[in-house]
Amino acid sequence: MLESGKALPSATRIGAAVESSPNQPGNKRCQRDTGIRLCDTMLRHRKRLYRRNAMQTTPSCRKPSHRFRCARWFAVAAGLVGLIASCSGQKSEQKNGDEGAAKSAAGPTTTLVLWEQDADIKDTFAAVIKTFETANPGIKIKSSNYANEDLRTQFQTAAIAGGGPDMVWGPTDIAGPFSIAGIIQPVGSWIKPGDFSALALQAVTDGSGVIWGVPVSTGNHLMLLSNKKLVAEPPKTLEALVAVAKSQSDPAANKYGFAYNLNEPFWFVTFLGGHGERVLSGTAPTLSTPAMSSALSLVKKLKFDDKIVPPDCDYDCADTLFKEGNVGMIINGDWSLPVYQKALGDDLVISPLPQIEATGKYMSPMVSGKCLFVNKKVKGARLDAVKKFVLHMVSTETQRQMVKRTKRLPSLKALQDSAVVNADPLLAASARALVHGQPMPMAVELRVVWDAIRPQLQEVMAGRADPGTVGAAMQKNAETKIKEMKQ
Amino acid sequence: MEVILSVLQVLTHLFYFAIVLFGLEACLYWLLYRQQNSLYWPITAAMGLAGGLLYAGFFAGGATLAAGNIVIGVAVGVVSSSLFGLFCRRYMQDKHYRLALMFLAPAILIVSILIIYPFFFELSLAFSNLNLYTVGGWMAGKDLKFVGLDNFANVFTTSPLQTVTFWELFIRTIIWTVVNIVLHVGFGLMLALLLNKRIPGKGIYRTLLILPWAMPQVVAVLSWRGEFHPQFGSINAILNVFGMDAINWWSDPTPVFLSCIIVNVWLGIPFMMIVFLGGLQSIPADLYEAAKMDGASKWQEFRFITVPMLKPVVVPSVVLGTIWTFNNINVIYLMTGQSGGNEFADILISALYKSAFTYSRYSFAAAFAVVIFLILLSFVVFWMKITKGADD
Repeated sequence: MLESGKALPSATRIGAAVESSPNQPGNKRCQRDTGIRLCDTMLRHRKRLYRRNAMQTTPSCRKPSHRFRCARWFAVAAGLVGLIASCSGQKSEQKNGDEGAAKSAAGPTTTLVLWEQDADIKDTFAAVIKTFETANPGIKIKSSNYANEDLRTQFQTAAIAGGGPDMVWGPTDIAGPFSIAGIIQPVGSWIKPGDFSALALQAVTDGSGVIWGVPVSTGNHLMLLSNKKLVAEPPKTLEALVAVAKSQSDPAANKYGFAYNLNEPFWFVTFLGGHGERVLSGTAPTLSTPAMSSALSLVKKLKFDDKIVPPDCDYDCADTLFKEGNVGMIINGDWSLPVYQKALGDDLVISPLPQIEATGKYMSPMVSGKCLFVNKKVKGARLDAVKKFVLHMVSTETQRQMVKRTKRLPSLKALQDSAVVNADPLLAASARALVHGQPMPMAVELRVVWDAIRPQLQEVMAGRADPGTVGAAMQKNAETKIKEMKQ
Repeated sequence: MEVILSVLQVLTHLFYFAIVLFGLEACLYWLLYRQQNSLYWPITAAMGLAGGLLYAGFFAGGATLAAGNIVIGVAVGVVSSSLFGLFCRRYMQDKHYRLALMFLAPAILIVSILIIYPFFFELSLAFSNLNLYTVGGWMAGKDLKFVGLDNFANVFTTSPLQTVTFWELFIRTIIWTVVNIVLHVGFGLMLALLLNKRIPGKGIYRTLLILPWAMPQVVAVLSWRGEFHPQFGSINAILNVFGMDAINWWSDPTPVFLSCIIVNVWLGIPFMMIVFLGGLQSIPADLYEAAKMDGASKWQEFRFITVPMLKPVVVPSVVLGTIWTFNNINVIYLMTGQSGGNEFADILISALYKSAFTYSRYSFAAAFAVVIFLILLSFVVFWMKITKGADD
């Protein structure tokens, strides 16, 4: 015992000897030499001695049991988190599995992620998604809303990093950059191109005939909207429009007869179209033209000479003025129809953009539609699920439902001239407004053209630049930027 | 149920993170504190081996574990762990260093992942040709072309946006930063001096003055943009009341920039005020008493007590404020109508953002970012040099 008392160099050893005594060499020896009973007695004795010794020589915090308590707690906590995590994983799999087994033999649920930029038709989305989910119990759709520009930049960034949603719902002008960057996949083989409206399909078909998106609606086009209370008969020509608007405008009292998004190229190209010119020829910008000068002079005249538009009007300003009945006429797109119908009721009148008498041509809106695009990363069974959803969105039944609720024209040819469109005065008028439209090119250069027009248009509309000369600057800028884009 | 599941997911990730940190610390413990162990080298090499295998499995190989990746991963792992072991045995004998390294290790790991690696990645981008046309091939594993200093040359010779040049942006950024900082510090100091006095209702004033800081910036800036509306905004309405002409705050170059400055000054004052108020309260009152006894005037008290005593607070807050203002993208981006807006008020950093995310010129933007980084770096070095006296 004395020996063992001496052999106590540290508290750790004491603990080890006490707690794991059966494995101690001394213990084995005592089993071998003196039998179990003696051994037990010795052990009890030793334990007592060690305890006393330990209490005298080591502070309590260094006692082995205390020392490892923290580590033990950590281990227990870590184990618990791990257990819960693995359980929850199992649980969700199990749950999914149960649902799948109960409703179909498809196996576990696939959740597809969809990013959209159409907050206006949120409820319609929810409804068609619900129909789809009921018909396909193995697939769930989770949709998230983004602002237009955010949708493009966020998807581009996410998809380049190998992430992003399975599908994107958006305007067709994102097809150009997305297809060039290789972050979406061609979907032409999923559909029968002949079934779709040419205007809608052209906006997602590239130069070599590859179809990059599935159009769900046709349109996204601008039209002339008027309030029957203020304008009895919508003008057929721009000159008539100016006359009507002038009679209702009083710039001194901040009152105007007409409003639109003055500095936005998408609105401006309708005036350019009325002069018989497009912004792109193939993929080459055509901005330095006599038509450009005339169109710019015209919009400048509306603001500075005729004084029929609020001098600094962006989208929200025009929208609010029209909704509140402060402006009789506005140029806006098909996406705004449900909102205006709610605000103005039967007073809302839709007509095609007017003809410009001087040129004899109609103002021409760009026509495309809303499309579904599929992320390049989607493969295998997931891709099959995506395909199912996309085809559901362009089925006759879904299209009919969407047309009724969103007041947008369908992408299916068969429905475009059907009762569902013709019976609704708003839709029929929207379809008439489409007649003078120009298909929106899918070229990535279109984006550059928008960006090249915008600052020069702003300069003209601020009265700082001469409409006759800025066309050349636009052209030069667009060409430089197209070159830089490839650097 | 979904909420609980998502919380659990977060917990699981935290748990994995804890395991990684625990492994890191355990390895370091072995390398630093068990150097006398006879198995030091074999176990160190085994650690490298395990690390190499993990790397090859998780990152380099993924599902298709290539033999080459394994060999490279293992070789790099073993060599680097042995080298590090050698380093530890040679230089890490001082126990203070060892402990410091153990404590710093998690921070070093996170900084390497979040700052050091992206920095070098960006440098490599700046010398290549990543753009909308090459990004698809790059994602599929194709190498990018090395273009030398072309991108850097483009930064100085072409417009990062539509028409505005680098030098215009640079000068505008300097004006933006100087005007903002001078007004932040000036108004901040003035308000702090006022609030440091005994005035009734001080708590209310203080709360009201901190409000701009407490409000989410996006909300504040967008409401300001509305107030600056040329026709329907309150600013022009007020100007009209005083018989002044309406100013075109949205599309005339100077007013656009001015409106951005006004909004940013409004946003930035509270921070400086709070910092200075803290500094003022830490000045002992007996200094002022002694000065009064000596017959010092109020101005002399301010000049010879308040200013020198505030200097240690002012210097770092000005550095911070400068870097924040220089890099303030929110106000400019939102006030000028976001990505479809005009470029009359764009500064370097907002032009950088637009060139990368609106115009998709990734390599150009990387080079541009390196240039901006060098500008800021030289400013900080210069500032540290000239304010060295303030430390003493």
